[in-house]
Amino acid sequence: MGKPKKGGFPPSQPIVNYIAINGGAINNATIAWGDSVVWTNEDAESYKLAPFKNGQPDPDNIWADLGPVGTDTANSAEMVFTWSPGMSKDPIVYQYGTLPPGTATATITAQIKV
Amino acid sequence: MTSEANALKDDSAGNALSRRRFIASALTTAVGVTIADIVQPRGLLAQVAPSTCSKAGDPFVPVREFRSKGKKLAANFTVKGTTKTVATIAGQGYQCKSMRLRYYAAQEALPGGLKWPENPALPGPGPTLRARVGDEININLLNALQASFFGRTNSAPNGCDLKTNQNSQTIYPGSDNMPSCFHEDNVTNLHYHGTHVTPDGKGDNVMVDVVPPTGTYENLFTLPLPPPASNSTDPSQPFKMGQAPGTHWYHAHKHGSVALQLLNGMAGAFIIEGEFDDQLETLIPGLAATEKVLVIQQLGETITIQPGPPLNTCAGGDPLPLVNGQLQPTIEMKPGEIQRWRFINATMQQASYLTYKFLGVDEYTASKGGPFPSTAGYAPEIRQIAYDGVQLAPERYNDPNFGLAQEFAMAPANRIDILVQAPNTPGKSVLAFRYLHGAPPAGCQPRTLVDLFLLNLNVSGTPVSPAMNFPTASNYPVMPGWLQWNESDPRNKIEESRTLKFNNTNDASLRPAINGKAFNNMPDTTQYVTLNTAEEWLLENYWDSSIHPFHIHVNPFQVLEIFDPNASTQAVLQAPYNWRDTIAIPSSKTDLATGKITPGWVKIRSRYVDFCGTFVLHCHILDHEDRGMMQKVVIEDPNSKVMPMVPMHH
Repeated sequence: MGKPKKGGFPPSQPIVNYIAINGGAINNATIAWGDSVVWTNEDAESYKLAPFKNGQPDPDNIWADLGPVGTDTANSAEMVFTWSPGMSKDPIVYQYGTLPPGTATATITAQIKV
Repeated sequence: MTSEANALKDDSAGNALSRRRFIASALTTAVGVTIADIVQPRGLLAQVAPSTCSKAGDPFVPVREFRSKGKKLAANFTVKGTTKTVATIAGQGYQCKSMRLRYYAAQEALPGGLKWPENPALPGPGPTLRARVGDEININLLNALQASFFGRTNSAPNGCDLKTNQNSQTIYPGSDNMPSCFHEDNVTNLHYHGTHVTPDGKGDNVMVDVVPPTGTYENLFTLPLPPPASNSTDPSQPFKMGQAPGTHWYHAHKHGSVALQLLNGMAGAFIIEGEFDDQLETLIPGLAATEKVLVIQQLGETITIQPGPPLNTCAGGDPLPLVNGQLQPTIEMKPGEIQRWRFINATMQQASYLTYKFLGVDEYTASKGGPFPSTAGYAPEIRQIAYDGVQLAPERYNDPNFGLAQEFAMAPANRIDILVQAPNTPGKSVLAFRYLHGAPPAGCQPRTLVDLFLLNLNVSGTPVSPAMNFPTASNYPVMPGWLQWNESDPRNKIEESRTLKFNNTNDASLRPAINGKAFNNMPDTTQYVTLNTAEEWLLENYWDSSIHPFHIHVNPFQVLEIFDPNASTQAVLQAPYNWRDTIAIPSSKTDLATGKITPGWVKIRSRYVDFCGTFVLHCHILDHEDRGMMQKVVIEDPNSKVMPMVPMHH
């Protein structure tokens, strides 16, 4: 966690950003460093979500494995977006999508302040 | 679980303004300018709030009270989850955030019984329970949490919550392990903090797990009456304690999810009345009618984790404390009026260890960012009358360090009762606060706030007539015999002394621990105490970065001495000592040149009477507790051995 503000860590209170998958589409989101993301599947089909690597969702780095809507696994666990020393202080954009590729893609922009 | 609890409606559609909060907003609009407009710079308003968020300066809104009727208080509590709009001022200014929080939806268990909350979309505590000593308390708890409403709880191989970051690196549990780690976020139970009742069975039993979505548990106990007068004078009989009438509270207490559930707001006031209240009402007629119950909370969705070692945890951010879910509300008084205010610190993190003082608006504004000014300006006069729900002795009421002090401090879980007398002329004040906690652990509290006040006081109208007066040194209520400690009574002889070191585990993980061990539910993290004995305990704190508010269930204790190495003060207190159930052990001080740690410490004594059974002691910074800074306490009757309880699932 942590926000790269001079002298320390984030003054904002971390929250959980709930991002819905509906009709195979995912909205982009902008969050603060230290916040969490939970994906909620509102569709009847299952999805796996992974960040892009070489232009495709990376099957070796699964962010979330979502069951169909109404099941106990329809929501993901909290994933915390952490900033650590050495990372850019400018906003960082994470592109991700569903596996197998082609269904949906979206971005999460992590920055100091929302 | 009764049908009334099951009949509570789902709260997912609760986005409309409640009628009370609507009226409050309308009143503020009608007045035009609030005290917050004067003392809060507009530049701090970083974002426009949705209409459902409370605004600084709104009229104070009391929490609905469930009162005992016919010597019985019965209610159904359903634990639910919903989206609430939470107002706060944090490092980035005024913020109104939507949060998915766990909360109590409650209803009196009688035909047409009252419900609370009126609007589940607004944050705040559960209903205020109000009973009298001798009353029967019957609370049916239904855990109706739907796990799918929140983020899924993925478990690490050891059963603790698993948290990862965007690089799929595990940031939790690290070295934490069961049972002392964050786990079972949606499992709960109820603790009646400050009650002196059996810890077993249907009493103040925190050894039970109430599992969603249909788990239930019934608490059914009677608040003890004061023992007969002969109790304090007849050494041939076992000493008995009564239930201290005072400001107590209830909250979730499932080890592993306590911090998260209190951060979500799962707490409420439990007011127990008795002879002390009757005596105050005689001295100040009308006092009960204007009494204020103020539950202080910091609300949030998730525990912040700073990977280690040492792995640090906290609520994150530094949100301004709320009062009954409201941000800096306004309390109205008449000139010269005296009101009783009951404060409950229902927060879970060290950032809420604060000291409070009334200041006039000008003095508050001029002192921002610095210590309290020596001159308070237009401010009410206060008298402290109780700590942690136990009345002060007359000597302490008239003590410049306690009853007469115009400043008061509260650590997490502390309660304080004060009498507030408004000045004799109209005017405006704020209840300002300053931080008392030391340097925070990495990743937690940055302490960036400058807008440090809890609430507004607006004094208007004509002065009260006849004039109201504080109790005097001579007419203040005396302590009942069972709250006195006669040194010559053989039943008060100290049978055993113990030292508890609030420190870290003896390994590289440096987890929160007591005597070097994280709670493991085994004998080496259990204190065995003999029924009907008195003991003296030394509580030492080996953390430079934090106080540790020591709390023990069932039996209150007297505080004899406090040593703060950072202030280099050793306070040898005077008898009659104050009774407490939670005391902040001052943080330690490490000499950087030699590495020597000088712990802060507190010396206490207590009588373990009336009840055998199993309960706990712990740090009331609740992420410390969840991660291991807890021990079990087993009270044994040598004539009837009590076996430690095994946790039960319901």
